Amino acid sequence: MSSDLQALLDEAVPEPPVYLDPAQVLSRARRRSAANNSLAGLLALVAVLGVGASIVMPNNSDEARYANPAAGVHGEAVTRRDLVEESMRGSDQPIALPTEVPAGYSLVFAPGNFMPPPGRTAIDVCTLPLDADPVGTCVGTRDAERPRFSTTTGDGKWQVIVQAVSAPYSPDDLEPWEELRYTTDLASIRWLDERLTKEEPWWQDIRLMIGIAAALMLALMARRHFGER
Amino acid sequence: MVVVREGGCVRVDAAEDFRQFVAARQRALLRTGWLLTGTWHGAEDLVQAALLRSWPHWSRVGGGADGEAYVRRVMINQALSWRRRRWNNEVPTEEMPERASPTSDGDVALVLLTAIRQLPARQRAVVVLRYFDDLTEAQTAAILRCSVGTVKSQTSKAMTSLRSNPALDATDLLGSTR
Repeated sequence: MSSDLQALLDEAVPEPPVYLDPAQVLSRARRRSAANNSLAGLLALVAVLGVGASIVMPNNSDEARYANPAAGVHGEAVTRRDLVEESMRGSDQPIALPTEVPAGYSLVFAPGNFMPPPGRTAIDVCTLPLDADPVGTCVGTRDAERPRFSTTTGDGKWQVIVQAVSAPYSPDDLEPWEELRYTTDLASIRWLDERLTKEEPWWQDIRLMIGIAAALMLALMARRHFGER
Repeated sequence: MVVVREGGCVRVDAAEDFRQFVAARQRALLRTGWLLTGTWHGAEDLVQAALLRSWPHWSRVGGGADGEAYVRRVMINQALSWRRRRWNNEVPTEEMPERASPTSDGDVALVLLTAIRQLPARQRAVVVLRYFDDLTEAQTAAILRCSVGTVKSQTSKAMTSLRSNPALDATDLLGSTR
């Protein structure tokens, strides 16, 4: 059956009326290959630059927010560590904390390696106005009425509860929507001063997109390079 | 594979090898292309496109059977790609398809070719590779990048489809369905 079908097909398919000049085909193939190589080189350059840019672009969270740890919200040269340590010593002195934050701004205070995701703001108790929360002394209030922000565990470790609220911050509208708990000691907490930050720069998201696009481009080029295997 | 001796060195002349391959195998490739596309224009485009895409890899795949298998794979992929894009599916013609019952081998061949062109692209590729290019199931599977089982099932479906044509079923060409 197979040989019959093959013979019939062989007979049925006519002789080609066209002839491909091997030299011309080779010439065209070379030109196309050269053009493809140039394009591939350009794409590779763009892809490498894209990946490089996505890597070396400064991280807003690290660089912009925490570049000046000594600057308080209103220019006070008081660090969070000072405030916390003062509270640890049992000082009865009220801690002057900002009571308002301009619209469009948010308070950022992120201990440890906790990094609030873009668009969110991490706030611990120390950023609360005293008159807005009974546990406004911020540390050492173990059995407070609303111990939702920070308390000590009594063993020298700190149980830090970070609650994130959406910006702009308002003492009257503090509805935490995310809570992270972890325990650490004071020395390991990277106390970072609150500072005013505006919304995330546009390249925070663009950076990720550039990286993904560049990776896709590289994958596509690799596929083209290795051909029909 | 064209091997050139230069002094004490031996190198493969890929360009000459490619030229010789095109000269020697274009007839077979064009006929396969004709079966895949249905027109000589399409066949010429298909073979040229496959050759152009194969050239950058020629020093690796080389000529001979490996080179031909590579070019055929590119042709099949290209034909399937064109088929998906559907930009060359419709061909204007002045002749209506032949529908009369075949009375001679020539008529049967015409009916067979028409029936093959109406197969789905992948089944058509399997039939062309298996029964026109006389490749084994394993070689066909390698070109189509599928399993031998898939080749068998596609072949079976294609044959069933061809047998549904009364003119072809009346012949013993496709084997008995009963």
